Formats: sequence, structure tokens, C-alpha cells
Amino acid sequence: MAKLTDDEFVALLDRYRAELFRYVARNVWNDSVIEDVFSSAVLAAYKQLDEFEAGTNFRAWMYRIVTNKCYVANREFKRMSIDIESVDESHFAVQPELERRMLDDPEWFLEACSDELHRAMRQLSTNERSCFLLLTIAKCSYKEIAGILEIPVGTVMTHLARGRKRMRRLLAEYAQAGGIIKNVKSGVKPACQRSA
Amino acid sequence: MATDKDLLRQAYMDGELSVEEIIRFESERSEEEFRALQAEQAFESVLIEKLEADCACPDELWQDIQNRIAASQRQPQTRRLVLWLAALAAVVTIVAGLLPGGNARSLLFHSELAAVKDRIEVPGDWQKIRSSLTEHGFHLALTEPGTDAYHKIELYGLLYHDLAGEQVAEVCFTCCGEPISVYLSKDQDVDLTQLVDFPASTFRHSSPIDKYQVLAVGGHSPTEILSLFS
Repeated sequence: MAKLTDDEFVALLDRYRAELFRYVARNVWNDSVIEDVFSSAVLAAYKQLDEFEAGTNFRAWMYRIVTNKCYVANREFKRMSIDIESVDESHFAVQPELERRMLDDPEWFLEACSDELHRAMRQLSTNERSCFLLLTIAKCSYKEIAGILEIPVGTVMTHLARGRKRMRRLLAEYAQAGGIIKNVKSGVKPACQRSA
Repeated sequence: MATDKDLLRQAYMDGELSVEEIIRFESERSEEEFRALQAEQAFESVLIEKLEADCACPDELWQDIQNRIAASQRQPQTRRLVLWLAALAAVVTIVAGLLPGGNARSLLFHSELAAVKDRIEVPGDWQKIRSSLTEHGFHLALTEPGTDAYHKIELYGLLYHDLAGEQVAEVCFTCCGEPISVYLSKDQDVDLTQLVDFPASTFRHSSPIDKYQVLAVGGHSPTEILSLFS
């Protein structure tokens, strides 16, 4: 089995470090551990370098290690992922009219939601968030996500569907509570939000 | 559970359908449904843009990781020795912990921290250290780590330095067994690195907190410890 040299490892990692770091930053619940989780994942990968076969999918291998580190960090944070079969999805449904308003001007809406976006992302279950981030930030296919998370493709699809619904629901609730949706209804967006 | 129709729609949006499936899917959609799909795709692309913003990998972190890997490369022959020494230290630690009056914890401290030990003016009591800092004009809040803290943080003690007539406080911690010192100065211009007692420090982080200049150094990332100060 061909092995990567240390220099090859660093060179490959340099190619993917930006996306891997973004993935960690959006995956862990506690901002103060982002750099620690990223460093420990990289150093863990370096220690396990003998287990990686040169020429196979380095990126997917790194995502698997990084994802495990995120799981551990989040578990330390005393938050467990939700059992996939035990969730009542009616809790995540957004009223059609509310959803239409969100989709009407996404640039403005998401700018108005600001930091709430990251909070909403962190309220997804670990699997929902990992699937969504691997799809969007890492641009992985369903099959690649299934391989990284070691779950069936059908489960990936379910996590994605549920995560998206939940995220929209959380943002919609925030938008209603903060008066963002109300401004849309009256047809007048505050100047500061229009310019954002 | 999401319906098959929902999952098919999602797979179309995510580019997961084959050409034949795409043709069949599109032929069964009305114009209104297409508009809704486009709106959802637009929403998600903005959402991804927002998620990707403002979270670049810091260059100094990447440099630090490279340095650690390079250090391992330079000393491959010492790895086994280090492992043996670590195993030996663990055994000594356990044995010392079993001896009457033995202090196993102190054996985990690095020599740098042991060097500071004799100069500690206020031992590791959160309340006493807060009081001492206030008495010396350092009006900073120092919060104890919560039970949900990611790292194991212990307060080791406090000492003061005189640096060109300016008083500098040094609060000593251990984080996951690694020593970390946080230097506090009321003067933003004084060079705190002159005081650094940890020559082998892996991490150095300098940033102001309120009106104070703060420098943290040690063998572990000081991020969580710095978050205790405000």
C-alpha cells in the first residue's frame, strides 16, 4: 500500500484547509473550540497517516476525521443528535405564506437574519448539520456524504430534508419575532435592511 | 418523514438525478412549480454564501500546525524515546499518587511551570486572585470555567512583575495539563514578551481586553482561558 510522505500530506492539506476549516467553524456548537478542533483533527490525521493509502480520496478521508472531531466536541458540549425515527416533522413546517415571503428576496432576508443564521445552523442535529455542510460547503455528493458519515444514502437524504425544513422554520420564527416578515407584509423594508 | 416526492424534488435541486430522471422530473412540473424551485435554489445559494463568509482558516494557525508537523519530521528518531518517557512519566505519576503524601498532579506540570511555582504570590484560588487583581488596579472580570467547558482548566496562581516601572500581572493556569500564562498590563505599549517564561511555548496570543494589554503564552491554545477574562 503506497503511503503519503509528510510533505505530501502537508501539500494536500493546504489544498483543502480552507474548506475543512469552514466546515469545522459551521459544525461545532462552541466558537471557542473551532481552532482546537481543526488542529486536533489535522494532527490526528497526521498520526494516522500510515492508515491512508496514497491515491485514494484524501479529501473524504480528512472530512471523516474532521467530522468525528466535531462530533466529539459537540458531545462534550452536552448536546446529542436526535434519533432519526423519533422526530415529528410537523414541528419544522413553515406556513406557506411565510415561506413565500422568505424566498421572495433571500439576499435581503438572510442579511436581516444576520447572526441568527449561524445560531439556526447550530440548532440542527449533528447529522442534519453535517449532511447539509458536506453538501453545501464541501460540495460532496449524497454518496460521498454517506461514505464520510458511514450512513445509508437514504438517511443522508432524510437528514438533508429535515435539516432544511428545520432551518427555515427557525429563521421564519426569528423573522416573525423580530418584525422582519411584518415589514415585508406592509411593503416597506427599513432603509438599513434595504441597503444591506 | 419526508415524502418520496419531497426527496425527489430535493435530489433534483442537489443535482443528484440522472439525465433520464431530470427529463422525467421536469416534464411533470408546472411553471409555478419551476418558479418555486428556482426561488428555493436562489435562497439556498445565498444561504451558502452567508455560511461560507467570515470563517477563513487563520494563517497563524496553519503555520503553527505546519511547525508541529515539521518538528515531528525533524526528530523521527526521538519519537520512540518520547513515547517511552511518556510511559515512564505515567508510571511515576501513578506510583507517586499511591505513595502517602505524594502529589501525582505536580508531576504532570512542565518544568517551566515548576520554575514559576516559587514565585507565585497568590495561590490558585479564584476569589483571592480576583481580589488581588482588583487591589492592584486590574479591574477585569475573571470568570471560573463552567461545567460545560471544553478544556480542563485549572487556576495555578498569580504573580506580579515590574517591567520598566510598570506593574504586570501574570495569571498562571493549566489547560488540559499544559501550562499557560496570561500577562496583563495597564500600559498598551510595554513589550510583554520580555517577561515570557515559557521559552518552548507553542502558542502565543496577544490582544487587548478593555483597556488592558493581554499576552497569553503556553503549551496549549489559550482561546478558552482568554474567554474567562472580560
